Amino acid sequence: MEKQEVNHLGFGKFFGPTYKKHLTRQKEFLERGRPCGWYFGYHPAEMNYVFDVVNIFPEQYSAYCASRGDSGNMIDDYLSMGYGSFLCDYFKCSVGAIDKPEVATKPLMPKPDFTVDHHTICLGHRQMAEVHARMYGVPRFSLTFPYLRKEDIGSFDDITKVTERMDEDVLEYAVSILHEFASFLKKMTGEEMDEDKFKSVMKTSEETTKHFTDVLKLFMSKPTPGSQRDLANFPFIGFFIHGSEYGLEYVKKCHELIKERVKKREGIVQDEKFRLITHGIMPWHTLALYDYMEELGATFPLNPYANCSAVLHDSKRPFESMARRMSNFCNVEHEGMLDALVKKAKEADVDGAILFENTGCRIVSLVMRPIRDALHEELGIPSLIVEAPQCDPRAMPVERMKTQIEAFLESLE
Amino acid sequence: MNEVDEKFYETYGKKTKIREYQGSGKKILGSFCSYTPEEIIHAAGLVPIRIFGERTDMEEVNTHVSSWICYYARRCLEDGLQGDYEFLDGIVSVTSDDTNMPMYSIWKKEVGANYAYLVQLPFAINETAIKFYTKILKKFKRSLEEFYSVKITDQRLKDSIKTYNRSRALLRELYDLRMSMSPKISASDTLKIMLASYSMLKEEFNDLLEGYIADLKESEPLNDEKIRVHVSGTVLHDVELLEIIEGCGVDIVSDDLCTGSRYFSFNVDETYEPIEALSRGYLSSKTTCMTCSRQGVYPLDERLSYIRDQVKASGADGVIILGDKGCDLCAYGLPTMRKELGKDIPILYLDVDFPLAAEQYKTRVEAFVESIKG
Ligand code: SF4
Ligand code: SF4
Repeated sequence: MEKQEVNHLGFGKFFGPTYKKHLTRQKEFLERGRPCGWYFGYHPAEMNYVFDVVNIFPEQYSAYCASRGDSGNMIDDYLSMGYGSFLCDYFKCSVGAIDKPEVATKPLMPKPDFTVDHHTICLGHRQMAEVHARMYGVPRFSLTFPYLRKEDIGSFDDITKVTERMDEDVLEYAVSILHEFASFLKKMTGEEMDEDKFKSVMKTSEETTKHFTDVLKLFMSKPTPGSQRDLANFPFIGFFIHGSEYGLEYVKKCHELIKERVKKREGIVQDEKFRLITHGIMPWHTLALYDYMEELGATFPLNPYANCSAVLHDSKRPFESMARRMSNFCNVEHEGMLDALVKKAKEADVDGAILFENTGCRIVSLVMRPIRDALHEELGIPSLIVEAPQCDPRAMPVERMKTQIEAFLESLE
Repeated sequence: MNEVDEKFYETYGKKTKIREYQGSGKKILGSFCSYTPEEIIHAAGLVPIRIFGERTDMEEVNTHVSSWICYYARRCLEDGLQGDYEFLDGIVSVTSDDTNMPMYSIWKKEVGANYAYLVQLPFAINETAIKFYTKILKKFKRSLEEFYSVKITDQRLKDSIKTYNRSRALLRELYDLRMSMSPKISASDTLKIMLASYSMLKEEFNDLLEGYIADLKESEPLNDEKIRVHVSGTVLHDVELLEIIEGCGVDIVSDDLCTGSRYFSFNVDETYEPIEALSRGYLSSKTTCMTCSRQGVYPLDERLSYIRDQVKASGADGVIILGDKGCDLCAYGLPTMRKELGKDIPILYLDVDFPLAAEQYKTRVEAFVESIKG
């Protein structure tokens, strides 16, 4: 197939300075003796900025290790500890890194004073957190938001997480857990919650989420204005640093760029041949795979994995806004989840889907075939499911993925 | 055919009772987890049963789920897709893990169910969670009432709770007979009885079991001196596997299986308002799959302490862990479990794979027995 040049939006150039600010904050806080928490899952990140804790994300660290080509050794060490192959790759890497720091990517994660897990992406997070908390003998807090049934929320928007309705009992329970979480952080820091700071962090978060969700909506424009490389850092912002000034600065800049491009009706390739959905955790060890697909004229206006990390906040209702993270794609029973996806697929006017099944991740893998079937039944469009563990390059060689993908794209032609 | 097969196992294997209930117009609801509050289904005049997959050749299921997912889910779905559960009117599941939740949705769509309900666990154990779970259970009750046009009165619920408590007490009694220094019943026979408990109405099961226990008490112990072992795992319903282990000179005297002691390890306090009582009861189980836990406690510690208590009470000489590589609930804690338990007692880990590699298991269990004997 003929190759084209990919005209990335260039979100990447803003990310370096943003990440540097994040690391500087962490370093300064560690030097000041602020407590350090390890966070697992889609937690209300804002609270870290209210309580000034050092926020570490083992998943993001694992993705980073994979992108640096180090994850193989860490996974080998993990296996030598007696763990099985069919668990989350993120877990494999972070456990391997703790057990054998000499093979792990530097800088290592600073030791935690506590762990926090949140289950609305997967219940695996609670077990991962427990293993890590035990390794260090530190306290652990679980944000135990319930899994949602379609009846609880009606329809929902995959990007903003705004729901048609919200079951009162579920919301009340989630909000009460957030209050417990605030109490836990009070205990960990030995400080009361600063209400003014809370308000201001929530305002920052609200503004961030407005830009953030708008960028994702604009991604669905025709032609697709951005590449998957552009989007690759978005989950980091959405999952981990909402509420920070540097996160806001980043998304604002990205928003400006994408608005400009959409206004000019420019796409990432000259000839957009296929508009596709991509879902599944990105194979961090080989993001070049997306470049390859885009060079072949396949663009991705819709990425439900990235959309998972988006939420729209209303700073006047801070706790309810944070609870809204519940209504993400992974935490809603398939019926509701597939309705939301099909709706977005129609809006984005896609021709098919390339779905990455992350071996060891149940919540992602078990939805791939239902997505394939729903897209086929509702929209008559085909999907390709590619086995792609997100951090282990050895489990599925890139060349094999490329062959599968190329054959699929040819069939679309 | 021995008495256990005739009285109990047939109800599971041949679904004799289920057919009988169906014939009399009763509706059958299937569930996927020991956490399912069966009492509410029972109080609605319906028959709650547990879904198990018997097939080991996976044909249909691979179109719908990945091949590395746990055997429990894959085998259930395979049987469902092949039409073995056509007699079910509906399914009820709980949000107990990352496999169970999607499995419910996949079953609902691909196998089909007139009635389907997902009970949301609070994932925590404290007063707030109990309050929330009480509301969730009330919604479940309302849903059954509306769908099946029945009134689930408090009295009916109380009666069902009583029946289930009685069942749990009897099963504990049965387990005690297995646990005694001279066991009167084997683990494979006990499992057959457990499977019967999932395949018939509890009041009938209780009557049967009560009579059986009375006879068992009078019977001679199983005579030969064997190594005493505790078995750990999740959902096990393959009697053959236990028979292989027992055939190697082992008495399985205790377990922490979902289809074993975990199913009846708690009681529902009859002094509370019935739905709240169920909420408290189910959340008080110390043997959870780590899905609901107390803040400030490592759930694995609770599980380890449950196993240690069982081992102590049964005087087990060793622990055999039956693992399913696809079960994440076990897999995350496995190395810790092996390490921690291994400090006090010999451990053997068996990877359960289908079709069962009988000879391989035999060799490993025999070696384990020899090592314990010294
Ligand atoms: S990759 Fe899957 S299993 Fe791992 S943390 Fe994410 S959702 Fe959970
Ligand atoms: S607990 Fe384990 S065996 Fe049971 S459904 Fe979940 S993953 Fe499967």
